[in-house]
Amino acid sequence: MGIALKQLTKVFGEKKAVDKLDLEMPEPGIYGLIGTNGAGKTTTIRMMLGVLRPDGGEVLWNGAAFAPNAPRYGYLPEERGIYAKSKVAVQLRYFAELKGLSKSEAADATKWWLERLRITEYADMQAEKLSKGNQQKVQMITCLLHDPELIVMDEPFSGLDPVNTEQFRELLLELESKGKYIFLSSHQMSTVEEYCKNITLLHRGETLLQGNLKEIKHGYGHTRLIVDAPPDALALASDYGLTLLDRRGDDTTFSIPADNADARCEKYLRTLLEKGILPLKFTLSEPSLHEIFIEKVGAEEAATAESPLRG
Amino acid sequence: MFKQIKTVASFTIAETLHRKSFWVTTVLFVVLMAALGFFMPMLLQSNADDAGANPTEVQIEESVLQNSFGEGSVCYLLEEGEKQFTDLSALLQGLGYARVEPVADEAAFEAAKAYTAQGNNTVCLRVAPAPDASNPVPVVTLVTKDYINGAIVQAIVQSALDTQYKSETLTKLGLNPEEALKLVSFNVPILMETTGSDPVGSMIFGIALMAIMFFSILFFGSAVATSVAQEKSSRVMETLVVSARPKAILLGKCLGSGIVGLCQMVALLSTAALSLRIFVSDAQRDLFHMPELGLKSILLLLVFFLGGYSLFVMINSACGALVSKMEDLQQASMPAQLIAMASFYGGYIPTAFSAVPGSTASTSTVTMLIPFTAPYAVCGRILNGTEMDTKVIALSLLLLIATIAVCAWFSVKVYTASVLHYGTRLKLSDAWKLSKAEKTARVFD
Repeated sequence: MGIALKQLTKVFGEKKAVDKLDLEMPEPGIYGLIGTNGAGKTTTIRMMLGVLRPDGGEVLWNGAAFAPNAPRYGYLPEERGIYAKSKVAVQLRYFAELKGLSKSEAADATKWWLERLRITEYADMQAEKLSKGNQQKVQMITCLLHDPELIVMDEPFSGLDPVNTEQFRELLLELESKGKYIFLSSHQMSTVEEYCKNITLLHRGETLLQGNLKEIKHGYGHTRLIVDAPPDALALASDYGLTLLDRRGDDTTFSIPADNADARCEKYLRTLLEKGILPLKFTLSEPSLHEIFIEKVGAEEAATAESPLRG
Repeated sequence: MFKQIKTVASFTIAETLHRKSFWVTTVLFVVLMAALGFFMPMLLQSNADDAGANPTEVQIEESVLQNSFGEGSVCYLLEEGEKQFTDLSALLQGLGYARVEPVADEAAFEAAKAYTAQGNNTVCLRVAPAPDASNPVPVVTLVTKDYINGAIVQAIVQSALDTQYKSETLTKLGLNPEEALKLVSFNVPILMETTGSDPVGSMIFGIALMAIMFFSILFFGSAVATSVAQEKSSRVMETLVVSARPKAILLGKCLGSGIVGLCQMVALLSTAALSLRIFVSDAQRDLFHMPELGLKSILLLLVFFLGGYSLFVMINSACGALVSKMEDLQQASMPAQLIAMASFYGGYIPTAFSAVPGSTASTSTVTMLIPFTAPYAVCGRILNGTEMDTKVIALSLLLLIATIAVCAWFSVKVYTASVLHYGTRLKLSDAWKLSKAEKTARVFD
């Protein structure tokens, strides 16, 4: 059940924008679609929403092909677009009616969402006069006012100030709790890491990594050690094969070699304790999504560069 | 689909009514229509004066007379052989030449011609006996610097010489000189009355309506192209195409603009009708037969206006979809605008000529059968009061509808393929290739 992309392929000329992508989201939640520029994220989204016809494969909703209104979906594109000269409420009602709501339903939904995102005072203002953050809220309302089952958001947090980011964060979690299927496409790995249970990493149209984010990270094991301790203690780290990565404030981050990672850290900690040094922080962590992304894409780039077939 | 078309049309109407340019154009044309009614009596009066004047009297502007016959004007006169007039010099001086200078021979006449060519307010006149005894009319040659002034001088000199020659001939035949002069100066007056419709009122009305129709089609066609291009350049298209089918967006836009255009046209015509009723008297209306349009004519005007509008607006919408930057729109719309202009001139001009008495209406009939010119040709002929064969009208309408259907199909294809294309301006052929390559996706079905 839910949404499934089967062997989805799109070719532009000689370039494969998306190559045999399999993706499944059987339950409601937030799914992360990540990748570099030109990885095929937008093409995947457009095929998913039926704007582009796939050259191969299919998109299924509850096991059947998409129909015009099954599921109801909302789309927040990466490139924000609004009718600059139109009043906010007028264009929201317009989009609501286009999405199948009656006039009164459209008016009610517009009113409700303007209040929900706290921009009621801008209802009768031309959209071009709004700040970027408020324009983004208008776009978000356009995406949601017909109560879609499937929501696709392309970079929903880009350009938002901390207050608006927090509002969007609350909204996203609220939508998740209401059982919506949400696709989140983003370059901001921290965002994806925070919200998504499952991810697909695309690179040049190919799937580099896919699955449950927690499991993916588990697979890597502990690769980072963050220590807050006196300089003498930090100097001992190299004895256990730990490599200094970063220093921020009181925290020092080490990279841990893959072999016997946990055992090395344990030995290092024991040494510190035996010397009477009690570190204020000693945290083992899995790699961040950002690190995984860099590693995966970097390896792929290197492999492509070395390949004799590289065109 | 129909709900979406209706929604897009309503939004388009609301957006157009909020646009300043729409109101400026409308108010401007309303004022023009009101002015047409206000100035019509003066135009009709001027025509009536012209129609009532004696056609044999030479109507010359005072300034022209002063330039050609005033102070410093000279007429070089060469009279070859036997004199054809008793006193030609006196006659010419009577016309207003300051000096009449006889020329002795051909060489002197050539020198006078060279002097005249320099623009010295002179003319050269050569009078020679008839070369053929069976037709004893003298041969008169008038040389002037240019044709424009020369034509006027020729009219005056010819009238004077004609009268003089006939009068002297009648005197030689035994008539009293005074009676002879009176006889040749006399014209039998003919009072003219018309029983059918006079083309003047209809033609003025027709030209005005054709101009409104042309500008309306141009304005709203261009408005649709601009609207499509703006939706692309502002990226609102991304949201739009997942909210409604492109087909519905395009048709809704065209419908919305069409409704506003039609309302604008009705408003302008109502203003014109009201203005004519207020400012033009019943007598003037009776004299110049302002067009009386029956229900059939009004329906035909409506159908062909909407047909012409649909045709051009479809082409314009496809042009708008080819660009993603507003600055490229003018170039992309150029072919559509050229077609619109060529259609207007190609459709209306033969129609205007078809109203001229004695002209054959074959060209105008051909333009009625060309779908792009048909709206102007048919509407023009209705307003001119030119007879039209019902079969030709039916065929014209059929061809127009078929072309609209083809254009709509083509425009929807191009629009659908181009709406999400960003970057450089697409050529029409590229968009067509794209539409063939990119088979219909779900939302485009």
